[in-house]
Amino acid sequence: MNNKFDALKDDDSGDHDQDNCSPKDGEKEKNDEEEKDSNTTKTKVVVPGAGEHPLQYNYSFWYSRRTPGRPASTQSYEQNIKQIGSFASVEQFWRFYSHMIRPSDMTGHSDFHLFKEGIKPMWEDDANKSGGKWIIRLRKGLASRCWENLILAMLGEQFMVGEEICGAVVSVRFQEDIISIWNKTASDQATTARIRDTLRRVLNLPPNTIMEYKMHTDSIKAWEDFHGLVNASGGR
Amino acid sequence: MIASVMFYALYPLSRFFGRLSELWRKAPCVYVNGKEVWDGGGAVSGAQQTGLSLQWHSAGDTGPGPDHAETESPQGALEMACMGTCVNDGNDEEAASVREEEASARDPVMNDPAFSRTEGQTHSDGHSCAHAVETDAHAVYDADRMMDSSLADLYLGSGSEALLHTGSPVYDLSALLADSPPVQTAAEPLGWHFPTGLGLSQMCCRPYVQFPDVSYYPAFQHNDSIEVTWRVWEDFSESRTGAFVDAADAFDFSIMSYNILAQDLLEANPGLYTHCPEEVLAWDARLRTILRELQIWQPDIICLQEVQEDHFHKQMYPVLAEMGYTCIYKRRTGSKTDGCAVCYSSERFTQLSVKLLEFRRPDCELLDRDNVAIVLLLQPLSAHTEALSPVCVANTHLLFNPRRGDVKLAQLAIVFAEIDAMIEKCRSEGRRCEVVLCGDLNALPNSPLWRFVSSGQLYYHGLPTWMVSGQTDLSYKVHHARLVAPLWPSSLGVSDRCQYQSESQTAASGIFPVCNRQYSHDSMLQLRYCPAACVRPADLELIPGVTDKTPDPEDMEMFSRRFGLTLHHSLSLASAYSEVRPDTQSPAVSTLNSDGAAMVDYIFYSTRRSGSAGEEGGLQMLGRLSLLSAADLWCLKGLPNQTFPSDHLSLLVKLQLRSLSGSNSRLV
Repeated sequence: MNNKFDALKDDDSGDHDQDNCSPKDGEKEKNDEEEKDSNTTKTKVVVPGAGEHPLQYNYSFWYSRRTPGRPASTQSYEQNIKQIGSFASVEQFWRFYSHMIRPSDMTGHSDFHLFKEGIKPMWEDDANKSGGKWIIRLRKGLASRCWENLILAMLGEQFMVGEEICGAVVSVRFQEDIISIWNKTASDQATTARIRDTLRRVLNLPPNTIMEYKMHTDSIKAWEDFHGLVNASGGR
Repeated sequence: MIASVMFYALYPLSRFFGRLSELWRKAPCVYVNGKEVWDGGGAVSGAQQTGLSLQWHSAGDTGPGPDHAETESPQGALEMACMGTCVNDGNDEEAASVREEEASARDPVMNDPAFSRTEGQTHSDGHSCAHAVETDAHAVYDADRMMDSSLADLYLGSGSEALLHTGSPVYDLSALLADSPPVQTAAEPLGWHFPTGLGLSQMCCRPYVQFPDVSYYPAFQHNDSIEVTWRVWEDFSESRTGAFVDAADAFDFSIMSYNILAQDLLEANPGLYTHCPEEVLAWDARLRTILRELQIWQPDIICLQEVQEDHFHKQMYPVLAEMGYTCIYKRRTGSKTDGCAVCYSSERFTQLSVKLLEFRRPDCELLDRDNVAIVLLLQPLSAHTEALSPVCVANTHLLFNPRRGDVKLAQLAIVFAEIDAMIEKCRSEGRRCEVVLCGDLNALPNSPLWRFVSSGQLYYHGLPTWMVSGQTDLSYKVHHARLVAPLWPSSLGVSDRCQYQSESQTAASGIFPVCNRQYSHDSMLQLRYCPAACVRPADLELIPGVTDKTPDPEDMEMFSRRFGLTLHHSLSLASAYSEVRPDTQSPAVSTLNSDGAAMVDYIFYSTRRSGSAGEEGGLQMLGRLSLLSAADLWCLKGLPNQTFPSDHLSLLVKLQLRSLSGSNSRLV
């Protein structure tokens, strides 16, 4: 089976960095164990510890990586993405963050995802399906700082767009890194504009930085087109 | 101008008096400085430290005060006179004129009991002192008479000029004290006086007395030289840098901070006052002395601590009200009977606002102590009131417990937050506001708490709580409670910049669930390496190359210093008192009891930080009443004693508020 990594193998430009799995469950190759470990939402409810600074929302860290050596075609997105842990307070966030490597230190084709608890970092999630994302491409060396600034702003509710924010992603690629922030309603221009302005501020971006907004529906469509193309060329 | 007098109180040789008194009369003159010493009674002078050739007599023959310094050597007299003049900063013309008047119209009854009193000395006969002085002055020390008188002038004349606030032309100490009986103690009928000239930089040699730690009574065998000085007025008005401000443009005021030792606390801690005779511990006697002290100095603002509520309302307030003070009292919370009081001269200030602070917060485990503070905003009154910025006066008595630096810091932060709120209010009206922070902070000079007040910031992360105040060294303990972020719960509503968090922020952190839990980048970063954030989450799977990172300790350290774990306040404050006496470099103390001596009382005042050019402002210190060293105080038999009615000394400074009419009248 093919999945997003087929596309990404040939296209590292990064706008597919949050490519999702195919909705077709039957295509997935996964065992129960993996699913239990990586994909089922933890039943344990995360709460702020005593005296800790509670966050407005609980969040989960995810990590995904294309396993080197294995043909991309055999990997599914959902199989490759792993939930690292959830937290409910500023302290708990730092606890995870302190024990995770910085994006710049990641090797290969890897992503960190930070999403509100209950929202999967996938286009198809109910919270995402009519949403979109702001994408910023960064030259190498900037990802760690920008990623930290981005998630601190998100966790600290600096975007001021109500419940619109879904999560953020940093994608490490060969020649560039990409950060993006996802929101629920792609059609809400006021919200997306506000997110863009906040991004500029918190990331301290130069004015000429190119920021691109991409609706997930477009991403899905592009992927499906590409997928279909690959499928066709693959002689399926 | 400068009024500075050093008294050398003598050491009461009670045990030897009987034997010595005879020798005394036979051999009244003793030279020190290694030249010739009086050998009667075994009082051998030891190593001498200064070059001042000074002779002294026993008090049996002579008057006790410096104005009665007996010098047999004209050389010595000249030296002393010279010193006196030097210290007087060229004010000898004035002094000379007064001197002559004084010389002719000297009134021993006015002067001598005063000195005997102020020195806290014991005399067998107050009147004989007076007579002795007269005799000395007229018969024995003709040559030195001028000098003697000038010394008196410096103390009584010039001294009063500098010390007293406007409207008191003469230092009326003698009048105030005239009705007080001379201090007499049957058991210790005589003492020695080691009079010397005056001057702050002067050292004088006297028999040195070693004071064993355990005893407050000197061991006679270890005679050496010791220094006993009276509290002098240290004048800074001429050493100020910058242009002299026209008197009409400036507002001078004096402010006192004084822990008067609540009688209930005295009685609850008898172990601290074992060195004191009962009569100096009696409240009635202490009250009299306290009130007399207030009457002598008449500070424009009085900040008192450990004021017992019943005593204040029944006994102190009526007197203070009579003296023209408006008083604010705040009792400590709980069952405590004492508290803080601020009294200000109604003629000189009017009150803009006042806040009574209780540090006990029911919802906060940290703030479970009963200490209180008073913060008030006073508008100076003068012909140019409009041009004078308000003065925010804060008075507090922080928790004593040496182990609980965490509580002290939290209490102090509340005071700073309240001060900040008052300043902000002024600022919003386009006015500047100066600050004076008074009180017993229960922290030593250069302790972290002190440095926090002085420097405006404190990197507290990991600091053992006992170390905050510097009162006691508990480093031997195995376990140290340490300061960690957050220093206090956010429900207190005080940020680590010692400011009240804005209404919305406070509300947000207090109500659950809230719709807006916002954290700025900085506030997120502050918790970056807090202890809770450094523990590896139990449920974090170890993925090599992904989740196998550990926080770098060096990074943590650097990060903490740069981004957080630091307490700030935005006031620019300087302590009016330094930890050492400027003349002798001996540590100055503001409190002394059987447990030890230390400086814990302070007057901090606004200064304009250097570098903020163009912003004239802040308060100038014109002078202060010197503190004493522990040795000095032990020579007065510790605290409280006949002279000093509390186990603390009063702090008194004179500050100058510059008018804004000049350059920048508005500061936003």
